[in-house]
Amino acid sequence: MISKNDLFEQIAEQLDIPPYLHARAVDRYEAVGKYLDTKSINAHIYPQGSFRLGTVVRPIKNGADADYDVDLVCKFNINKSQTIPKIVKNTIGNALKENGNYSKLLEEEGRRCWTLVYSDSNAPGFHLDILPSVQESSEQIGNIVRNGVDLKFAINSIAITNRIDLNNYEWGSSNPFGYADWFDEINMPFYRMIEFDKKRGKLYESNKTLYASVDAVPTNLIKTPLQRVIQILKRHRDMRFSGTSFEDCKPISMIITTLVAQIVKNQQYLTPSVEILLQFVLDRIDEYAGLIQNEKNKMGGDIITRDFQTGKWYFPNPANPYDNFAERWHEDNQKCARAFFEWVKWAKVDLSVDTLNKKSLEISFGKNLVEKAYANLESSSTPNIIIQKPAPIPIVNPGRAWSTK
Amino acid sequence: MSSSKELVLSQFYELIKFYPDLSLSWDNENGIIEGKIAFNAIFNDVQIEDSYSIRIEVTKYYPFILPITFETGNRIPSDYHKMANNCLCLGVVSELYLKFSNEATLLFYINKFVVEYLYSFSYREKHGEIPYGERSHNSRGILEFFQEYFETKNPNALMYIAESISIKDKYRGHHQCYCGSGKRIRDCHGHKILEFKMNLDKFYVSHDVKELIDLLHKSGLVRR
Repeated sequence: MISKNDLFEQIAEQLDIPPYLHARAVDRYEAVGKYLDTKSINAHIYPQGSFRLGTVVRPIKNGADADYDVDLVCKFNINKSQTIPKIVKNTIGNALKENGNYSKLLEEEGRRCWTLVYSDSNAPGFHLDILPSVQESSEQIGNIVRNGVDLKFAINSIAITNRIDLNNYEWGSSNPFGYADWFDEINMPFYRMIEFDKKRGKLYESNKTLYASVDAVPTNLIKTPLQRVIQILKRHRDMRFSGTSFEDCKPISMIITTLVAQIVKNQQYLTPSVEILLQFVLDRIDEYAGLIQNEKNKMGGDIITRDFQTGKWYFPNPANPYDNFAERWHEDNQKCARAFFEWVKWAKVDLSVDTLNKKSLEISFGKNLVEKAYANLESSSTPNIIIQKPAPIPIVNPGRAWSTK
Repeated sequence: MSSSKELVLSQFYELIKFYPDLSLSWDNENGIIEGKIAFNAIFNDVQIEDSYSIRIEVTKYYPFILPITFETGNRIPSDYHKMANNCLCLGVVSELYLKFSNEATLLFYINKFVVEYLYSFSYREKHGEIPYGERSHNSRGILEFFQEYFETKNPNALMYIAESISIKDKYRGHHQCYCGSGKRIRDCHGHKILEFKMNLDKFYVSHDVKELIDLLHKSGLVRR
């Protein structure tokens, strides 16, 4: 019999970016970094977002599997006070345009990023989203700390460039590295819950051409139950909103990731089981959604708060209080807020262990993916791998049940 | 992190290698372990595989205070061996403490006490009887444990034992052993008394010894 935990593990594994593609993406962005070096641009490129957190899922666009998003920060080694956003943004943009190779891959300028598209008509590809930035000013870091963020996270804040119109740019504040550290701290105890070395060894064995040694297998390809649950919820969201009128308002990945991590952090919850963690998280999110929707509950929640007078919502980035994940929730008659609460309802019903079946899994994750997961599980439980059952524990000199009633 | 919290956490890491369907969370300083215990145990050639939903509460005083365990799947009725607050009555408390003091881990607690208890309930469901007997209720059960542990039913011997345990400086290793072997007590049953004496700092152990003394007094069988 297939356990539900194995099923969830296997489904989440199907959502992972394949190791060969991960390696290729790393190779490509490192090449961009080297290219900037040759142009004497003093900047470094680092992964951020789900690529850094190990919570990547393959996106769905127009109902079909799309290319992976690889989010990167390009941090210039220059003082914020000695430059302006326009120069930061255009230095990297111009460098990419000057190169025959990159200019072909480069998309039109985005509000914050430059995007290089590595597509392949026959296989999944990826986008490199490069976010130009500089170290945040100490004044702004001070503000972030005064707003309750631990200095060890705040210190990593960056200033990013926002394009407000054709020729004008302004500074924005962001903290993807502080966020990643915050997430890692919550995720760390889960690494001790899993058979880390075994999983790493398995990845190495099946991708020997990619890695020089076991130690070269990137840590964030080895997933904890926390990362698995986030992947599962992100995919369920993508599937359920696909093709609906709410699709443009579906909860952003940062909301799902932060909500799950906060819940786990608040109760210091730990388990090796994806199934158990998922149920726990679903129950808490459901409870929490009820709490913050209730107008009588003036206190609101400790993660998301709502101003009932203005109808605005506040869901701060735990590493940067100026970054409000729920900034747009009240717009368009609370469309995003309603989408969030709808998603909570869907997730609770669709992913509840008691009523789970192949059909409901297909609705949540997609037919092809679920079929592949089942096929993998069945092939791995064929008799050529004999799993030895442990011998029973002998009961020796047993105590006896007693009672005070 | 407090030292008891750190201890619970490190023991939980061991625990989940054998019982992976468990979770750990915290209510202030108190740890809560919830989930399923699936076991495969054998006693007198009878093998039983079964699984129960449980909740174990580990206070901040762990390991000086033993955890308590609840069965959360509504399988074990409340008139089976349970305490007034519905937690499982795994055995006479001082007996549990004495065994636990040799290997104070959550894994031992579950393997030894919880699995033995659940095995015997599963056995009873199948065969209609309890495989390794049960203790009488209340202080009679405590008396049975002392009789068994010190290998005597003689009320005067038991009173001697209880006082040797509970009264400071009362233990005399050169006295003749209560069992009638003719040996000095330090060469005979003395180590069992000392083992108890060492665990007297645990509230429940001293409590059981007092219960025993009370019961012996009330029985009228003890020579004064």
